[in-house]
Amino acid sequence: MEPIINNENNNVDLKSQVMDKIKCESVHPHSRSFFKLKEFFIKAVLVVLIMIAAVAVSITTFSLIYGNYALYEITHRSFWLFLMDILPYVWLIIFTLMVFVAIYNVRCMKTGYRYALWKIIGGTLLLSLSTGLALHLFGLGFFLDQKFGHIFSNYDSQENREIKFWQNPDGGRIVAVLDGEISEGVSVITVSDIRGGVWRTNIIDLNPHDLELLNNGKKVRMVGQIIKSDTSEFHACGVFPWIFDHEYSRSELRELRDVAKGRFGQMNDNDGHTKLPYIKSEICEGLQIMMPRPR
Amino acid sequence: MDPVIVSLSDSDIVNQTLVDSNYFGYLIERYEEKLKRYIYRLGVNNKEDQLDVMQEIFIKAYKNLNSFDTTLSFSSWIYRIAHNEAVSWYRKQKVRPEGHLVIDGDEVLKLVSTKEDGVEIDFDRQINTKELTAALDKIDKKYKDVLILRYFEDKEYSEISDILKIPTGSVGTLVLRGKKQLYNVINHKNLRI
Repeated sequence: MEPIINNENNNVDLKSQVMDKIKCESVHPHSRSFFKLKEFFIKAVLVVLIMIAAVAVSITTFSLIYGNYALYEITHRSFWLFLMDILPYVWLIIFTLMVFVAIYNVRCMKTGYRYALWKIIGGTLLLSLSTGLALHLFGLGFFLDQKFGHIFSNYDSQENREIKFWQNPDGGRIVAVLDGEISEGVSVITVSDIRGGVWRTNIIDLNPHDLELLNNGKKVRMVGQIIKSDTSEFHACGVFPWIFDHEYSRSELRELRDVAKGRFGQMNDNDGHTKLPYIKSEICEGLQIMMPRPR
Repeated sequence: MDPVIVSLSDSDIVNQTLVDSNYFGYLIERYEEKLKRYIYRLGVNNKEDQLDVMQEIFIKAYKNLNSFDTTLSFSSWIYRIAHNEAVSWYRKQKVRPEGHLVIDGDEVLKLVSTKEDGVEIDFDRQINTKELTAALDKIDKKYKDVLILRYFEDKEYSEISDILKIPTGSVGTLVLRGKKQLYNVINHKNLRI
């Protein structure tokens, strides 16, 4: 296009050039709905990012709350090793990633640049943490972690991790359900573990509370020793409830921990050998349940 | 220009433009000189390049008129487009922007040495525009951008925030640091005459 000369000052007439271009090339403003849709999309993405971060928080909270704090002294060499085992790293990475993208997203919003970075980071963290804790209170952390564990074979749910840790007969641990009922005076019962193994289990070293747990027909964690592996004979030294069948309230979990502490607390000596207060046989004496880390 | 048009605000003309594209010409008239000077200061100094960049600015502004938020200033909005176009122009050219100051250096120096900076700068009033331009080209781009807007385009912090898309608080910090850096560069080079 030839430059149009403005007669007054011999300058190229920008106005005419631009207006001609608009008319000749049929340039039109983008529709308002295009921009509204774009802004809506950015906001919707932000909501999704915050929700994913909140889910990560709720599952992390659930994992931390359901850790076996009562037993960590006899299952791990230090609290930090125990904590490293129960932290859900995948969700922590997802949380960090979502928060970073959400911050970037806020900055891309129409007026996002007006807020200082620390305010955006603080706001995003506050929103995702508070939403995550609220979701946890509604049981979503427990529910989703369980669901993901059942749906995705590679997903390391808290329940699966506990199963990996506790279903280890050679290590003296099984997750099992009593077959039938315990009659009075009986010293050997039959239990089925969650992998389908059936164990003839000697219960003479169990206390009344352990027997009660077994007798209610629910899944339990059992510690002891294999007596004969070829005939699947197990000697039980302690029983703890399985806490992943349904969601427990915080007070229930506290109560379970207190019981477990009373049962196994202050029992391991300096070498990590467990001393049980109710034992009648020598099998449970010096029982070692300090295990290799589950992961 | 028609006195009725003169009395209209930028936002009113934007609304009219969306009905009748001819009104856009009035916006071009209002901002042509200001933006031409601004992109020149940012480094687009060749006349032909200026014309290309200016065309791009107004075409882009026209295409995006519906994204203009009437609660904000139109001036800041179109300055933002101009800034982006100037930046993308010298990215395309792969050259380091060399700005040119086109107003009286004395006036600018008065602004630079105002009390708001906290740095007492007793600039020599005879320092000339050329030397100030050279000094501005030596400081970090982020500081140069805010100093140009603050002291050459006479923009408020909130407007600079909208143009450069940075928090208002950061504008103050950048102005302060920019002035310190400018002061050091000028001293270092003994640019006083």
